[in-house]
Amino acid sequence: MGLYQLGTFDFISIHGAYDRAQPPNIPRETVIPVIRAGVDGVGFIRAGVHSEPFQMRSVVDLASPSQVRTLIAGYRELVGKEAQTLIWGDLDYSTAFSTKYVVLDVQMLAVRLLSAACGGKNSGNVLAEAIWTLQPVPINLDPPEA
Amino acid sequence: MPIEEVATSTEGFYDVPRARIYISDKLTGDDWEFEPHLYLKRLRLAASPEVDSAEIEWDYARLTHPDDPEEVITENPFEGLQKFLKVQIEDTVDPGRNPITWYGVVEVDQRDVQGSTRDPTGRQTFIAWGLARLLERVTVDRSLVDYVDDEGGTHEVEIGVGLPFNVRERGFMVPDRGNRMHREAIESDGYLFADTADRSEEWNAEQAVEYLLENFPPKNLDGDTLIECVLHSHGEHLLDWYDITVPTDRRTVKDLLDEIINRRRGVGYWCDFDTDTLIVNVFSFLDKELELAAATASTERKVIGANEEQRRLNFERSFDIESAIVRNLSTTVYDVIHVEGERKTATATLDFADVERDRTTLEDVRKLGKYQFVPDWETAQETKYLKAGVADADYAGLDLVQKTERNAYIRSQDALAHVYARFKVHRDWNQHLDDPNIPFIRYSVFRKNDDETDPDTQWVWGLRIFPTTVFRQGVDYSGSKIADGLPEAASFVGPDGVKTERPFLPMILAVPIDSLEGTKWVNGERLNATASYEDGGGRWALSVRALHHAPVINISVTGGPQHFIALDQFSDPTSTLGVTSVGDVDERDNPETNHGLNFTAFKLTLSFEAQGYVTETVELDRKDAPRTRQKRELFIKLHDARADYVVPQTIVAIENGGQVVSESGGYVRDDRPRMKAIAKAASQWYGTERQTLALRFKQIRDFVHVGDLIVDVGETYNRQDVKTTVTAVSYDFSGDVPMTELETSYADLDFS
Repeated sequence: MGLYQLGTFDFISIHGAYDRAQPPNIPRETVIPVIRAGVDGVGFIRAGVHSEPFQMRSVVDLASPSQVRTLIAGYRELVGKEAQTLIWGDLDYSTAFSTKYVVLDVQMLAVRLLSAACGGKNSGNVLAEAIWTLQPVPINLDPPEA
Repeated sequence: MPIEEVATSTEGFYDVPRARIYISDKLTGDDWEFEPHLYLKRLRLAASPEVDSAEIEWDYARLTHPDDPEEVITENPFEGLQKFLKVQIEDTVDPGRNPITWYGVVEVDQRDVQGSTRDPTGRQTFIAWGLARLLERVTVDRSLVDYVDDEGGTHEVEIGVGLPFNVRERGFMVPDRGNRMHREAIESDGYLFADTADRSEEWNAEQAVEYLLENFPPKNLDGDTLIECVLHSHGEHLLDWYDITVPTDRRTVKDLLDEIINRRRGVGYWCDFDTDTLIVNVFSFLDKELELAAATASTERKVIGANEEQRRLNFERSFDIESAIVRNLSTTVYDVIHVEGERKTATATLDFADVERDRTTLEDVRKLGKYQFVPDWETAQETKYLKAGVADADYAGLDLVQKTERNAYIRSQDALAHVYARFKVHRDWNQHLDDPNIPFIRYSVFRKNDDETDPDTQWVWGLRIFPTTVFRQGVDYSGSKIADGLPEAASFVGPDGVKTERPFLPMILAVPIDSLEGTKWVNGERLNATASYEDGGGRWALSVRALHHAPVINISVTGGPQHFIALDQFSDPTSTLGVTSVGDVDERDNPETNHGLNFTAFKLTLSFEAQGYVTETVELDRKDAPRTRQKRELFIKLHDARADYVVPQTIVAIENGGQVVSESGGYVRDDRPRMKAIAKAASQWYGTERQTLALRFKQIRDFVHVGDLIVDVGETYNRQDVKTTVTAVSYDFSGDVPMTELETSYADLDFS
């Protein structure tokens, strides 16, 4: 298992689109404040566990340029599929926070041919970067009772 | 009655509940299948005549459900039409309360179709109606009659038409309207229709509703009863205080319930379901019991019951109120309540006079006010009648037979048909009658009330005469019996065992004759049957009828010429008309030889319809109101309310050659106490402002139900007296935050 993984895709890294250190979002309780003219104080409605979509940027190397097409096709296949496990910094969010992620969109940002490379996931000299739009969803919810 | 105080939550945090939807092909039993992905958008519980409804959504597409995001599935359109639906919503604020549970039947499947390149995609909206809908599909096409055979055995017989509840509208001529069997059915619950009139009584609303629910339940496709239906009144005397006249044939049960349990009677209903029974819940719009009639020796106290579920709302410190709108309505406030019945009547015995002959002095002119019936023909016409053919040029040359023939022909022509026949009430009649036995005692014929010194003077020419009197055949009105209170006499049981209405008597024409036993009184219409003379009896009689357009009557001689009742006028016309020669008559047409009579000796008992209505009035205390405000008067019409007055000394019958009089007079029918009670009740209802309340708050709560009466909202510093009944409760899940909305309304009571 890699340090950064989305579904079956292993990355060199996957990080916040704007801040590399930003961790993935997780669902939390939605609280709606309630106020009323003539009444002191504030009330709150617990409206359920919800989340907002957010973006992450992935980086991975490929062994050869011929693998780019397969990679892009594979990424696109994830869009609209069941929720995927996300491992970020060796932390499996499905077990740590009961959260998986539905891929809403994926766009390739860049595919670069490196003149020299070492390390990486595939010991390759092609670097592929993609930007993911993910929707966190809670898992392990109690099923609705009859 | 205790008033429960309720409030929405004032806690800081509360959860949003989830509505659970269940589907089944059967309404009863345990076959309910939970459908976790059917979502409730809106549920509306309502009082009659509205029907509850629920709006449910279902998405079909290739998707993942929120409760199971790890699996992508293809949901197909949901086949929900004609299925039964159960909705349950937990109370998340007070988990101890029972969940809101509602049952309905899905009748609308609306699809917002969004395309189907790979998988059909769209959103379905189902509309389910409440179980009152089942009653909308039951048509009354038969009636059940409780039949008793000759051996006394009882059977339930079905006939192929829906009989009306109570046969006719209440009214003057109709005593018996009921067609309900007088005892409960042997083979089933409640009452059925009666097989004969003598075993019948009137239906009240409660009995009619029970009959419908017991005998017309919804049925399944095999013809078996789908669910039982019962009535449950939330309070006493909600449906038993009024009777009804309702046709039922080919009408639906829901339609009939809406008519019988009606807001104008101060009641409404909503439908509920419990295990296997549909319950029609009746509630009152009144906050206090309203008395319509006090108890008497023969009747029970009549009241409209109050609402048993009264609530005081207290949400002054609640955050979750989205809006609370109280409307005060003065449109239903009145200052004076008039309860009006039919036109007043007065029954009296009037005399006849020949004014022209009687008037000789100025004193007589002044006495004109006393004259009642006077001739309605002209002197010239009377002269022509008397002279007949005398003025013809060839008259002198005719023999006696020819002369009498000529005269008879002239006298019988249409132009002279009213001479000695038509009589009118004198236009200057003073509308008083003197007591024949006690001098200076005088009775007002028309009365405003029971005060003899306050007569109700009429415009004489506007009076109308009824074709009959208010007296019923076979009832003794003599002496003081009217004032003492007559027994119930509207019907009798005939020789065939059937209850029959007593007919009203025609006008009574009392005629004095010189019979074998001296002067006797006979009924003019039976003159030829009752008069006894030396020569064997009269051969002619009289018939009386009233004209429609004026207070005029016509007395026709049958079996003889009209002048048989003008004995003095015919025998001695010279003294007044100056007619010296009267057209010849033979013995057959001579009043002197045919027991002729003087119409001036006649007496006629008749019933007048006066120009005013029987009215009872209540004026509310408005001394603190600004005097410049318009006075608002409400007129409530009671079509069967009457006050039929009989003047003292009125002739009520002719028996054994003498007059039978009602010495005391009085009211043979007096509905004024009932009208007064209704006016008083109406003044309580229409004397105060009404309110409606629309309350919307951000929770799903079940503490106020359809049919509850809200007595006020707000705490002491913002108190508003509201007496309004909840007629709809809606649970709205369509927005970000589920809402509850209460709507209230009031009843426009119709006391007729």
